[in-house]
Amino acid sequence: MGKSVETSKEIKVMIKPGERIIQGEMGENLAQILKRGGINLNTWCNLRGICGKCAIEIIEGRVNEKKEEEIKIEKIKKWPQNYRLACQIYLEGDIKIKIPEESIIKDIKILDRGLMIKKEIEPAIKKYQICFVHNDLIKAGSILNYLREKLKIEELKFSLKSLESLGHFDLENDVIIYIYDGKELVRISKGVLPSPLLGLAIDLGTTTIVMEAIDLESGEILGKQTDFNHQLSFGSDVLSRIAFACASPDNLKKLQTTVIDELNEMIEKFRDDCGLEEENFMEAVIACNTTMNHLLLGLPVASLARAPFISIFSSIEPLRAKELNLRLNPEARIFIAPNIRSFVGGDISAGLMAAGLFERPGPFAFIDLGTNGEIVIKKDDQIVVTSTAAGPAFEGGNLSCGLPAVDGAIWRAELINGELKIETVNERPARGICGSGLIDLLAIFLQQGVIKPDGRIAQGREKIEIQDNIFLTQGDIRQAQLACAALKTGFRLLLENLCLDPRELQAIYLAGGFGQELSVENSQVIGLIPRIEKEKVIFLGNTSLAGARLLLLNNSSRQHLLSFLERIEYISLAMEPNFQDYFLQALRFGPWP
Amino acid sequence: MEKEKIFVLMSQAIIEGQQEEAVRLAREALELKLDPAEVIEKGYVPGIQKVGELWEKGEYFLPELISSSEAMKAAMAILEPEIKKQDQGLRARGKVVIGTVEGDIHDIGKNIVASMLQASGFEVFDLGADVKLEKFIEKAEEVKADIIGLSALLTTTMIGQKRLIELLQQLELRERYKVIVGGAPVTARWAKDIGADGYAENAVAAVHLVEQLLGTKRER
Repeated sequence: MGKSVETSKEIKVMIKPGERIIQGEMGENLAQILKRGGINLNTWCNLRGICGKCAIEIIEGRVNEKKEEEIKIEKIKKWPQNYRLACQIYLEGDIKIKIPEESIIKDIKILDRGLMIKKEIEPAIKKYQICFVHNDLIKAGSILNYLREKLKIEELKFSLKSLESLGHFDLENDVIIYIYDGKELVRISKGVLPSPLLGLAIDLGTTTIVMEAIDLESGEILGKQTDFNHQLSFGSDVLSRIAFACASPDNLKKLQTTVIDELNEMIEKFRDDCGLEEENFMEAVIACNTTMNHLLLGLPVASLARAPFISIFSSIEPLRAKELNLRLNPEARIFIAPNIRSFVGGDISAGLMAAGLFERPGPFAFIDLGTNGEIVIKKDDQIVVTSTAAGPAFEGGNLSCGLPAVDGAIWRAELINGELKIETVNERPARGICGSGLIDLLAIFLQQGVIKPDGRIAQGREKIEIQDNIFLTQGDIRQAQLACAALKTGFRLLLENLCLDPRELQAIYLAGGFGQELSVENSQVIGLIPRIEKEKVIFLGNTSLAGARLLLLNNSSRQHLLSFLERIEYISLAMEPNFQDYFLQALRFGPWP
Repeated sequence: MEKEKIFVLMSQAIIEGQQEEAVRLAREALELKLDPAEVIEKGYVPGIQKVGELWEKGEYFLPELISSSEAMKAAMAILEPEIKKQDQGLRARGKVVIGTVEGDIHDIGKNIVASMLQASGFEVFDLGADVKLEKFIEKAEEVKADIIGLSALLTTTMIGQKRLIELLQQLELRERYKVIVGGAPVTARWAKDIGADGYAENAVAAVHLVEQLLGTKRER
């Protein structure tokens, strides 16, 4: 059908302050014109006129009349007369407008450091205030039809329970409707009380759990908690937890209840400390490794840890809080960041997403260094990933004087005028060595010739004294060699798979436990990471948590992530023919390439 | 060149992991019509024994161990056919069937043990990684092995070592073989609990263990 001459007439929208003009057509929707003009207008409800977030101020010009709903919103928000919802305006001629600050979508910063990544706030769950206009209600024929029309969702999904609760509301008053993923009615509440829309971003680590309470409308982080994973009492690493879980069905249940109880305690603390009510938490995103998400769901883990190392799921539909006994709103959705493989989990996939690495052309490498060292390398459209059994040496695990990065752990060392100077965490008296300190010490001793490149301590000494009762034994150095070699071998095999020289890498992104205290130079001296310019090695911090935060606040990221995952190729190191040769070569300390 | 001098060079080549040199010396010994059995015993064996000592002192690590045992194997490959030709009937010190148990694909540790055992004069049948338990027994029966060596690198696959022993018992073959176990998560305690005949922490210890179980300890 052709347009009539009048409706195709060009009209001007002038935006004040300034002289910015966007061209539009007669009868065109103002919100759409502004969006097209590159203005980041908040269209939370997709132009349905029910969220009240796209208000603009009309300075000059004639527009269509307000409808009853708009008047209701105007009253609630206590707007002046000339405020209108941009999505309810169809142009009738040139206008001049002003856009209030609060109608522009705020970007959220995803990573705490390293890279600036910004995304729009666009959560999966949204709430809308609905008022019942009698005439429209009669026209619609049923409450459900009315909602379908107002929400402009034809195939509105709902449970019998939500249908039942619809009947309990007084149609004289407004209600608040919570819609998940643009199509599912998950909660209805009274519209009179202001209730925040909250979510949780959770990094469920093997060792540590970090949880953030986030306002899903503003993106503001309202509270944060960190605790050791209480499953630690059943084994310190994933393999020992799998072994425990496999020993009996009771054990599996025990691991699940332990983590659920702990998450519930943390949620309770948000209520006690920050006054955040459980029922207002409508979604949680959990990023964790494959073993942790299987244990969280109470799924058997035997298949994860024996050839061919297969997980039960990679990605699943969001679960309901009540299914997992999580004390959020019972209808809250739990989104589990998708796994890549049995040893490369949702913590890595979420982390890659958080750092925006799928969109970067590369070539670059992403390393998450813990007991398992996951390595991802991207070159153009190819992404390869592997997991290496680095062991706990760099977490201070199996060294005679090893410590995690706690008070008194040596975390930095350097030579000043030939003298060894050490720094400890919080400047407490030294009582052990943590990963970054170990790397510094190894590099210094190598350069001094105290340790030979083959790892031997010179002159047949059995250990190197660092301070009273703090030393490195020959065995400790062997452990460090093994850890270093595991990572280096994985790195080399992935690079080879992509026909890439390490010097071509544009960046190496480091995630996980290591922070700025890790010396890039010293890591390169011992050969932990390849020699590229220091500026190209970038610390990203806790990318798993950042990823959970992103997936919580930006629904479209979830779909993107799933489509990216299809392109990832997993390389099993043990199956690579060169693995043994490379591994043995890599046991030698020294820079590469 | 004097015999004694060549023996010293041979030992040196093994200690330094010089495969080419070890092979060259083996060929030279044959040209000089030296007795190949004596060459192995007096030239090469002291070398690999010294390597074991250096490992135990912590001076040698996996790469050194591997290159020495590879050098040893290469030299033996030259000398052994000659011994057979002369029909001196050089008998292996014992037969070992070795592999990484099913469900486990890690095999560097097992390869190093196999290599050291071979270098120390044992006949080794390496079945590789992710080996079905039945396969170990079939092979052991086929070659009339003395020892079955089982490696497991994961806490989740260690159970295979226990199952193999149970399987041997069911088949009433347990008395026929010595079963030894190893791998990162494996301990002497575990070996004892599952009724294995021995545990070794590393490749050099494995050689000692096998020697001890077969009563074929060499004089140092």
